Amino acid sequence: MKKFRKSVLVIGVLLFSITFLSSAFAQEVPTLSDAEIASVAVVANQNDIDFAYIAMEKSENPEVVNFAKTMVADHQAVIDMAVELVTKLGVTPMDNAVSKQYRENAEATMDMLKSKSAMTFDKAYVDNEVAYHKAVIDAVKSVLIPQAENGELKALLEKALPILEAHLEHAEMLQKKL
Amino acid sequence: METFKPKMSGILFLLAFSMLFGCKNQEVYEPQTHMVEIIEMKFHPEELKVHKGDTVVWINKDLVSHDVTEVNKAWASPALANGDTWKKEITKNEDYFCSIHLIMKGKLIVD
Repeated sequence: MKKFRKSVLVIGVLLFSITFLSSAFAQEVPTLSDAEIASVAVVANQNDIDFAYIAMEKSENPEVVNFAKTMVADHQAVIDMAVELVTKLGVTPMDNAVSKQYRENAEATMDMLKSKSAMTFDKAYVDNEVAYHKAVIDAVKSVLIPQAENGELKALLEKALPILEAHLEHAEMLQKKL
Repeated sequence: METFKPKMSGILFLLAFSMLFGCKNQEVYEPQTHMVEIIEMKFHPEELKVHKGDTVVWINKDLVSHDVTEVNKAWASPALANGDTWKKEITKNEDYFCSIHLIMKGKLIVD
């Protein structure tokens, strides 16, 4: 009986936590204008380019280095398309709480990556790539695409999504090998 | 009757020639060209049946560059930017992938 009561209590606490966290997350979903979405998109892509440059300098694993080179080329292509689009639309990307948070988190990640030894770097980099792409995919799907008002901006984000998903799959494939 | 004979043999010759020519014409296969689109980080179609001697043209419709590389790296295209195409005559079954995005794979099957 005691065991049963304990189980009920644990389930109750879990349910409460899930409900509380979900509602807290729901309240925290930011509202962004197209200019702010453009800024988030550019910062999110630039962060991954910055991580990749560290990998190209520190990693001795050719598969990791090739992955990093792909990250630089692909994310730069997305940035170029975003810049071309905002220039055409006459929109100036506007810094906001989300892009600032992305930038701050990226600075902490870069410090962490730079502090790793050659022995531990590859795993730290690839683990971060998996986590980072999951987080960005979630943001693109749940915040950026739904809130984008301009059709061309929405289309660009939709085109970027399969690229991010392919990167995630590639990073997960590398993660299994390390 | 003397004049008929050469005419008849001429007709028979022409008939035999056209039948022979006609049969030959049916046996000669005209190689076809097939398209594989690279879009949303996938080869479409991922698996394609072709006849020996057919040509496959790959076209990149993605924002990012891709390539077409045989699985053992026996042959490879250069990097294809958005809008670029590359073609190859296919003579045997081929497994290929994109060496830039290792998760992208394709297959050609020769009938």
